Amino acid sequence: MARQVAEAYREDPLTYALLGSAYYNTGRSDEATKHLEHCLELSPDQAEAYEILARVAYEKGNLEESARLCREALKRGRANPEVQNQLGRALMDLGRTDEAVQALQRAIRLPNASSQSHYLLGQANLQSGNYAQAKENFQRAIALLPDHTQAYFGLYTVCMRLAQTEEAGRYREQFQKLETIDRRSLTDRSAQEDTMSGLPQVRTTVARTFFGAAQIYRVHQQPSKAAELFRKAASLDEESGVYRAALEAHYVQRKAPAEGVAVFEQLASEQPDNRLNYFFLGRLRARLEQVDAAAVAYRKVQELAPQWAEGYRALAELYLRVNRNVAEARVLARRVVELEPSGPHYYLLAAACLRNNDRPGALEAIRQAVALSPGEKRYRELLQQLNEAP
Amino acid sequence: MRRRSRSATHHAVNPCHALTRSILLALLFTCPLTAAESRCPIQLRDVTRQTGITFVHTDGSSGRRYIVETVASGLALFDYNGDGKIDMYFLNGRPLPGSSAPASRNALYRNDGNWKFTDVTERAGVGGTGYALGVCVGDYNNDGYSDLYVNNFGRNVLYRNNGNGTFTDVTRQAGLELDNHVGAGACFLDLDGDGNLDLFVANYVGFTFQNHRISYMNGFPAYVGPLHYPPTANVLYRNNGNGTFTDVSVTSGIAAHLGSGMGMICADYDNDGDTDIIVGNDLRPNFVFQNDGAGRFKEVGALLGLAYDTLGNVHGTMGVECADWNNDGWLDFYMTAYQRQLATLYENKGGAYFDDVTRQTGAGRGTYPNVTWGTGLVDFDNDGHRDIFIACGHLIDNVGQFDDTTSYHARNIVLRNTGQGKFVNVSDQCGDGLLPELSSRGAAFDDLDNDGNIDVVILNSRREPTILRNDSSHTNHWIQIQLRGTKSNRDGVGARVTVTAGDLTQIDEVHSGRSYQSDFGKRLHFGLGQRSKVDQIRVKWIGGGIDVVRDVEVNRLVTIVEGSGRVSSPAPAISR
Repeated sequence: MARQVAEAYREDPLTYALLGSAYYNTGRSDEATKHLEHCLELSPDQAEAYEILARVAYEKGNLEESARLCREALKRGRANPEVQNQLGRALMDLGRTDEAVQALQRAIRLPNASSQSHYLLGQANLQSGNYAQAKENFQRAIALLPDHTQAYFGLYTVCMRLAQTEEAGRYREQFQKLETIDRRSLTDRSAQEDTMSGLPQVRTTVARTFFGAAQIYRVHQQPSKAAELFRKAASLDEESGVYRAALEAHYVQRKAPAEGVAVFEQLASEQPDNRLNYFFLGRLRARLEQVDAAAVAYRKVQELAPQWAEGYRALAELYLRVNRNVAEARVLARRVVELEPSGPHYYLLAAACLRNNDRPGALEAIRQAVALSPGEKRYRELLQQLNEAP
Repeated sequence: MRRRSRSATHHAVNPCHALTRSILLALLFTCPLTAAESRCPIQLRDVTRQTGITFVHTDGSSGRRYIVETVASGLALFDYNGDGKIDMYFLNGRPLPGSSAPASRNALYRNDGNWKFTDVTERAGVGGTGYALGVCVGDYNNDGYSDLYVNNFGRNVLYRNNGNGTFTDVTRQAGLELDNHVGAGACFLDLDGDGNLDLFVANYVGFTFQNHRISYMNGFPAYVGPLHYPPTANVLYRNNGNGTFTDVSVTSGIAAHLGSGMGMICADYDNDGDTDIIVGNDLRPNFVFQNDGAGRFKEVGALLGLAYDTLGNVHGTMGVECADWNNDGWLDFYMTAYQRQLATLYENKGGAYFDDVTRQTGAGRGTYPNVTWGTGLVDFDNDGHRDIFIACGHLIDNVGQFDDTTSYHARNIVLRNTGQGKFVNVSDQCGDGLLPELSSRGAAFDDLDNDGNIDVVILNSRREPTILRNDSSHTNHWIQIQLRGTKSNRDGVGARVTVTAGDLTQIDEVHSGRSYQSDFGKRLHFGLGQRSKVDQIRVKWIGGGIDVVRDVEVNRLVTIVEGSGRVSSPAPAISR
């Protein structure tokens, strides 16, 4: 597929990025490097090409080169926490912990900062001997992702260094519990016939290439080819929300959400246990103002994935938007923060509380949102409004 | 790197060649490298061909991809005939079902001096019967001769050294019949200070031909990992002092912990005078069995920070070594690992916990893309600071088909300890010994030519071994110390030796079984830099006795007999 696209659009640097990516995903990094470098010759500002080259360099143990390539990617692309994390890791592995701390501090200041960025910053601080700072970073990582196994290990380590042995013991216990679960799940997963055959890996790889090819066809005004490849990618990789989001966006941009509904219904019939298909089905139906049908889809998501916050969040947001079932929306929002206590989720809860005239509940929720995402202006403004209101 | 240097010289002396701009540039770039190479104080030369060693390792593979093939084998360096020269014992695999390879055996090579070795396997009777994985050496019956224990896939074997160049399989008489396990490392240790060497046997996973599986990576066949098989218990035997052993795995607390054991070492990590047991596990947390002094053990790996790396990740640990890398009086640990994991240096913080200092010190440099195996913390240049040798090579022979960031055949690595808290990767500058690209497994270190420099022997999977002569400069001083126990075990296994020379104080311990399923280094070696006299050698024997000798001459091998309070040189033949 990548070769076909490259043949079709020889002058398009993205096709070489796609070829490079396809080779990289099949473990042929030398071939990947050749095509990615060609892509950069044609278009020196392709941040994604630098990003993949940085990963190749890191995997080969060329840490200096990996750090340099990450910086090139960051110079050219949008602020990307993944690349910032990669830069932090390379610098940490080089023993340049002060520089790693700086890179990772930039990562956590990004609006879409991940738990992983906080965790890595904790590591860099731990290795620099800044134990108190490290502890705070690990705690923040856990606040964003309560089951972050390695962050508990970091907390154990740092508490031992701070002679907080009792607290350290608690964190060690939690770490060992989570680590045992992780290992058991890895063992179970890897023992499955499907995994042994290597097919999931191949499917994922092929899906990634189809997705890249679809994007290129879309740029070159080949919407039907693009849609078909987005659908194939989604069909091959059952876990990918990105491919389904692209498929959804395709129909939304073409102002044809009803067609999108048909495609996702087809996917749902092929993969009846896949929460993601129903999730996007719900979104498209909501866009068509088919509130009841959307709610049915979201409830199906909740049934298939009761521990996944998104199913509850989407329905809560829908009810708040159309101003229906607002009491249920508040219940749903509470479930969302239980499952994933993040800034945006507390903000949603605050909104749901306000809609139910529950000011104390809203105040409490927005305080949590600000604590988890102190850089978010919206949250601070709402907190201020609530504090100032009579 | 050397090839490039030679190429540059060729161009420079050939008058027929016009010196184009590109050649001038090449010269500009190659000259500093040559200078750097000559400055590197560590020089290791590949002398394999001149040794007369014809051993070739087999993993017994046939394409069926049994997991056991990937982890074979270790080796031992020891003086089997007491002639003062270190001999070599290579472990070997055996043809596995489906293989049409000819029969194979382990091999014992006698060191004849001048880098010549003679295969004496048949006469010695140590060719073995099983698929050999791990080995340890110890004088279990304190008769003055080093015995061998071989940890197999299948029946393990204890060879008693008869003292006349031959060995006898005494496994059954000793009560050490252990079958149907996939063996790993093994160590002799005196777990309760009674003067008799006990035995710890690590096991890998519960693999059998019946539960064998293979997997596929990007469509290519590959070996499955250790998590596909049940974890196993290790085994601890107490020496009864009459040539027999008793299985104390359950009463000692060892059997309660299931793992996937690989390399291991026994060492006193907490300086409390008894020997603890450290087992590297493949993709499961490493074990540290803390000894209460009476032979009962508590597993404290996670508590100490040795079970995981600093990131909280469990490693595919392969080899386990220990030594005091920063000369602070505490034994630090170095563990090799799987691809995309750094071989890890754990710094001992006063016995209370360990800090993973790999990144800050550079002790993992060059290891990330490789699977790493045998390792040694060895002072190659006798400057008083222990360097690191790391044997490399992937375990999947076709890995290049689906991942070319690594390779089945790889160069080994030498990291030089600067003495300033850092390691520098000098693999490109320390001689042709680091050029071979093979799939190494066990690595062992000792002074094979008794010149005061530690040499290297590497067992390569499916290939001949590599023998590296240490040609580092002789300007630095050194001392080697051999212990002879009288009340404690005869080899002094577990004894702690502290050497003070001027401003430099170093420690080491006598180990039996170490690194990747191998054994070496019973004669302790200390580099002394420019210090021309040893002020004091202190030996704390495992039974608690202490010998202190003062004002010892350098550049020699000395023997310290327990309770004598003096050194003798050369080593006397002591029999109890």
